[in-house]
Amino acid sequence: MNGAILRLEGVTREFPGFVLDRVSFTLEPGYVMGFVGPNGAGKTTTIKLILGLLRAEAGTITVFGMDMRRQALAIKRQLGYLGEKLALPDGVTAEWVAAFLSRCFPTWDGGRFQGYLRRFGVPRNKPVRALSKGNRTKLALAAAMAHRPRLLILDEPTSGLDPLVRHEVIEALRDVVAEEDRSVLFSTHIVSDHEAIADFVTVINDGRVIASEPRDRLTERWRRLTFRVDDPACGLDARLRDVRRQGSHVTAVTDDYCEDLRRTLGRVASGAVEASALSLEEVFRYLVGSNRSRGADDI
Amino acid sequence: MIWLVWSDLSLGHRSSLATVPLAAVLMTVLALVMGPGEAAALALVLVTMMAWGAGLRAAYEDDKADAWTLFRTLPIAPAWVVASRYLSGLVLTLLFGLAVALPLALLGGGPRPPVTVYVAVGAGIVLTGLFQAVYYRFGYRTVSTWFRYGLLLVVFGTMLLARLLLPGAGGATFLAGLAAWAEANSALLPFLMAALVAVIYVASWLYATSVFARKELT
Repeated sequence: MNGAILRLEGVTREFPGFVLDRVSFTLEPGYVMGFVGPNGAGKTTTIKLILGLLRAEAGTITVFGMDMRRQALAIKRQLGYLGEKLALPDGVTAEWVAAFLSRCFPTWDGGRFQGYLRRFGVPRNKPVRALSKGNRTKLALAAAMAHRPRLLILDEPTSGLDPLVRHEVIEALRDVVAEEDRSVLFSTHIVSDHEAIADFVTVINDGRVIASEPRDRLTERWRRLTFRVDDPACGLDARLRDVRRQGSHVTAVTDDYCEDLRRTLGRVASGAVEASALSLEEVFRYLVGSNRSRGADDI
Repeated sequence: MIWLVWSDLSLGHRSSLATVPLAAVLMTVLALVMGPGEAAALALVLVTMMAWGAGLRAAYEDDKADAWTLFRTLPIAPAWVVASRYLSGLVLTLLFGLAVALPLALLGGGPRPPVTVYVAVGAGIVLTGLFQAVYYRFGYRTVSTWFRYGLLLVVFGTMLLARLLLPGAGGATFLAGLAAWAEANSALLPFLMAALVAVIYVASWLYATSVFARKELT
């Protein structure tokens, strides 16, 4: 764990009407972490804290083992960032962006940047204002990656794009990430985007991290179960949620699919217990839904 | 650092740079119509308004492109970002001054422009410094509102104060005394004015640097 690319421990920041509450997670080298949460959950606030655009009131944030407050420039030289609002002036071209960023980053690779532009189909000499929104996003993505950052932070980069262009951007990102083995923190509320590239998922809701684990493990333990029972009124295991009965036919969801649950259900079920995987989007819905109802119970 | 200043001039100040020749043309026309002496009196208005407009335009471009976020996520020290804006603002104000001074000097028949041009450039530099300090402290929306009403307040406030504080013979005596002092120290006066302008500009620069380095971008 010493070589973590990014580590947040108990990061807290309070605003009027919103608290980012003791956020903790770790991104290991080579992983793509999907940072998922509904709108207003605290994703952008967390990213701004990581980037040093906001200051935490409690907790620690280390990037490449360094503290942003003390070693900001050293960290930012190895960091690529692409936000929801594309910070590119209207009048500049891709050539201008390359010339500018090559002065900022000692590791800037002009050939790589041109390669990305060719691959993404972004014209080099058109001003940003003349580019489509998809091409602007791809240009910003190329600009964020051409200095070979050790960590790429993407904050809702596909927001506002039509589904086709969004798919193109995600495809481009997936190819690059797969080839170059870089660490990525990818925030979006569009969960399906994570299906394509994330191998680690952190879910945040109402300012709190409610899950942070490898995507495979998350989708392994979350299952939809279908089985029949002899006694339609029989009690069922507490690990089952969203239980729906139709006579003797039962469907339910669990976040703890394991041998013990299979054995327990085997005792009440008449016949086989069928288990099917949930999509990441379904898991996300259950996670956020249960977190909200738990919050309501607390009140 | 030079590339940052150049980037700021070629991006944030691009449209303002285009108005430099316009200022020269305008001053030439004014000098031809009114005579260089009377036209020189308008140098103060022209240079300060153009400096203010250039600051506002650059702030607007920053705001539109979310430039603060861009800069703060790049490996550029906040002090450099502020320095580039102050240096480009200074260059631009000097260019405005030059654009106004050249026609006045050429049409006035002398190698040197009238003293009002120096006063205008000094006022333009002070205004640029104050504008940037407020901009880095409060952001584009606030600075555009403050300076719109602030300029009106300064102009009418000065007139009102002059009327209230310098009435009748007492006021005239004070002004006469001031003029006499300026006459007696005419060799020293330009240096004093230049030093005052430099102190105000550097102080606002330091303030803006300190504010921007600590600023949270919500």
